[in-house]
Amino acid sequence: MKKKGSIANILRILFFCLILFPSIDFQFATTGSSESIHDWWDINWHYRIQINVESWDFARDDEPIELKIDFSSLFLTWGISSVFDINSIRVIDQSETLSEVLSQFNPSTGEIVWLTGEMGAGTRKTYYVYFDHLENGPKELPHYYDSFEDGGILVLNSEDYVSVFYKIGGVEYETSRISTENGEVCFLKPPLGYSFLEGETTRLGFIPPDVEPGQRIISITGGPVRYMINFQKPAAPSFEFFSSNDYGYEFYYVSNGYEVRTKFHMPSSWDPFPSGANALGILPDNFYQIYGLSGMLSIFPFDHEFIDDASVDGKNQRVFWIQGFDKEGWKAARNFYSRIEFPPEIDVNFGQNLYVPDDHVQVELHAPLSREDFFTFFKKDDLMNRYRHTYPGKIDTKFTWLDNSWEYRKRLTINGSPVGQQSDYPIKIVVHLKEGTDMGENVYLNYKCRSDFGDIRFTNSNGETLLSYWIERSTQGEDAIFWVKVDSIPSSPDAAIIYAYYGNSNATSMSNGKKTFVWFDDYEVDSSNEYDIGKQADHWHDPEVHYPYYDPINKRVAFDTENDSSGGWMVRSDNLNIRNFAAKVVFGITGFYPHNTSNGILGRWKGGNSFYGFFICGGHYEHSPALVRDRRTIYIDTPLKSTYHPFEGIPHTMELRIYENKLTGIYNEGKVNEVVLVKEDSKHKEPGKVGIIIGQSSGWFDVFFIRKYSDPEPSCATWENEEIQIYPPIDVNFERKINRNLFRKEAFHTICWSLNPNNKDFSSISYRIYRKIADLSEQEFQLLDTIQSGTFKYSDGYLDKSMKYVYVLTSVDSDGHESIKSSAVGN
Amino acid sequence: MKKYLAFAISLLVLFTLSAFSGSFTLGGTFGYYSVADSIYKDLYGSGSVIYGGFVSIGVMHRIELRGDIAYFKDSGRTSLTRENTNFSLLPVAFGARIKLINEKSIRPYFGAGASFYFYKETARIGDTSDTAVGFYLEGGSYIVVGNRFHFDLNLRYINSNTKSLDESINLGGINTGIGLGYTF
Repeated sequence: MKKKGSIANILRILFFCLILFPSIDFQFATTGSSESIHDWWDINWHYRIQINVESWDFARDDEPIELKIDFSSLFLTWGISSVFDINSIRVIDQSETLSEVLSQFNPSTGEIVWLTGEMGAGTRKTYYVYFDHLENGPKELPHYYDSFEDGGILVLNSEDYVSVFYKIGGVEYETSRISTENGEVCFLKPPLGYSFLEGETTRLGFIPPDVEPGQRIISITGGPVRYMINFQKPAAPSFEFFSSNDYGYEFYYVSNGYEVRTKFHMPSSWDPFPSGANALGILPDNFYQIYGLSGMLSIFPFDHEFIDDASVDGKNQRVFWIQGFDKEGWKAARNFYSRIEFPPEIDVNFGQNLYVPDDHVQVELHAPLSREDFFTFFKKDDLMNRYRHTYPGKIDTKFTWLDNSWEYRKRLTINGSPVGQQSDYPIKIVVHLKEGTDMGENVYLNYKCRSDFGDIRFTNSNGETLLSYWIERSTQGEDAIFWVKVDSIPSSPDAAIIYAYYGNSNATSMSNGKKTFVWFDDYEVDSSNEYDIGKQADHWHDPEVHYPYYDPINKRVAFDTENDSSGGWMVRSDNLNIRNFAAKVVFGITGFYPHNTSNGILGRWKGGNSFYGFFICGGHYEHSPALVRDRRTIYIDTPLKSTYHPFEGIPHTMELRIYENKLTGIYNEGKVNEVVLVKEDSKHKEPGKVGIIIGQSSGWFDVFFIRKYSDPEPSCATWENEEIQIYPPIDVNFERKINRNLFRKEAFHTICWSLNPNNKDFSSISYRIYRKIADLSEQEFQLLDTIQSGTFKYSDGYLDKSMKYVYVLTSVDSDGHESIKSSAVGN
Repeated sequence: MKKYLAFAISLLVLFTLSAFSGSFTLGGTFGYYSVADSIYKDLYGSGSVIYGGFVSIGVMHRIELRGDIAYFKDSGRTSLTRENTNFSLLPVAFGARIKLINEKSIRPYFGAGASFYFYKETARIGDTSDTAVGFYLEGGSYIVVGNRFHFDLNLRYINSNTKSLDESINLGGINTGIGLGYTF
């Protein structure tokens, strides 16, 4: 930051420019006032652009100004052939006095970014962007903190905020400003070439360019994951008046799983870095560099008073967290609020004689980032005994909810089958949009899910692990049939628990038959190479082979066997023989021939005429479903001579279930002409292939799936009442206060928090407070208390200096449903 | 604590009897004891009155061996909950004084010695009693009245550190007092 005497500067600049740079005269002629707003900042710079920023109707605090200028084109327009000096960019605030503003410049885009600082409503700030070309002498890159080494991170404390700087490739970037008053991120900008981790709004950190996923990231506050400073006073000598006032500092942080510690000594003569001062010349005495596995980290502590109520190993020490978070803990700790306002207006003034085509200057108005994320940071005046941070790592899996985006869930109990435990077993659930009484496989969601059922999700009993599902059929606004693959169902009388989540208007269906069943094919693509396709040996009337074929237009398998009574078969080619199963197919018949129509499902097929089947078969105008064995004419059971005409291509369903000796055939399930045939037969006991058979007809079949099957099947038993997502408490704040006399101490732990506005019914919410000892990761959290609201106080009794605690808060509704954990706090 | 007290009194008597070779003085003191420790001041305030007794013998022309015992009691409040807490102190000291002038009625002196502190603190959060050892430096003046009596104006600095959990507490401080002695 440089300030020159106004009149002397102007005289010098005028002289200099009149001789060498007459083109600049106009700038001085038009701005020849002695007021600082028009002063020329530095005579070594020869060009500038005036930028006026209007706050409009709102007070501003560090609004980012983003200005994009094509400097090369600008010089061409002015008839200057020299090359633009990319190091020459300086932004000077000349609203009142001349002061340089920290800025970032991206040479590839011409974008210059800086912050407004504080602006009252209805006020204006005048900046000048100074620049130059190389013929006027190359300028050096701005170095605001000269001892700041490349690759380092600098955290500087100012009056009102903490600034985080990165030095990358010799360039310093102010990446964030964090208010010490309320922890708000006032400003956030990745270093050049870096991108936000998971988008702008997550504010987790930045990703360096060309970094593979999972590699190093850096947090917006400097510490890759968390860091901590211990201020330790050396052990006092025997008599107090001989003790040293010097301090030792221990720096500790965790970077991508690596714990880094270092210590250094600091004399008591060390003083805080003065706010707003130029670091040059002062910084070396106050600036400490710490090297760790992830490179250098530099820290600037602003308060080194020790306290005497937190002691470790006989040394007075102060421990506070600058910031502690990781990806998971971060989410738990952040607060939410939003502010809507208009961006400040920026007016770019190039001077009267400088003609600049519109396409050379682009001013981008950027409103602040959404600011809905909020994270806690220490308050300078509130450090005594107060630690505020999230606890890194996974603490507990007890409190789960699928995702904040889902508002509701219902719990389903599935009774096990008496024939044994089942795994990956598909369970049929019918979801109804309307109101109703849940019963068995039917659940009613009271119009709280999407009308297309795209937001339905199922998890196992932990409430988090998604289960695969497939929607067999859905009717918009009515109901849908789901098949849910439940990972484990114990044998009766035990039961399994799953959850059905709903109430997320942005969700879309994740229906996936291939992940749900043993075999699934909806023939959206030609999958004929996944089947063995053949023809039975005993064809009668037509020696010509009529194989089924893929119909790409209707995306299904078509066939026309003409008068061939045993036109062909089509079985899975994966050589998976299966003994107990349920196989279902949707088919339609468009034509038939006078005798012996036979279409259906084969099971336990071992080639030739060795199989069980469920066919629609018959002749002339009489067709019947039939359970058959080996040949279509060996009926196990059939309502012969009935008329079940699957004609006109209308979709019909056939399902063959085989469990041990029991055969079940279901025709047109749930529809008109539904037929259920059940018989026992013991001829074929060995496993075999499952497939489809066609004969003496033309038609198509579409969805075909095979699932695990037991008899009896596990069954949907009871649905619990709807659970509304309970949001955890926010603004969780932990305080430890010491009560003492001369020789005894006790600690009082106080936890304060705020209601989460996302909870729909505040009056029904209470809070559970859990605690465990921080160092014992395997220890279960102990429930301390459940209270309605306000402040929780807990006396620790006689202070045990070795104990550090982790607290967890949850919200609980009147039914006892518990939220996910809130931020954990401790020490 | 009683054991330590009995031991200290025994030492005092033995010391007095064995060292007796000249004048023997017995008397009492009253004064104000200001505890130096900052934590103490936060909890109890600056100090309180202290009273006690002493014996001394003159072993040479200007040198006096001396033993004294006193009692100090103070009450305060705990740092956070502001509950009552009581502190008592029984200092027993042995030392020597050198009189700068021994002939006139005003007889200034200085001295030094060792102190043994028996202390006790009682409060809801727990009771503590223990001992501490320290030393003292002192100065003052006798004002002789008649042949047998004298007043003793005294200023004494005591340093006596003890451990409290994980920190050091200095029970020493400044004792300003006046005494009245009778010489046999």
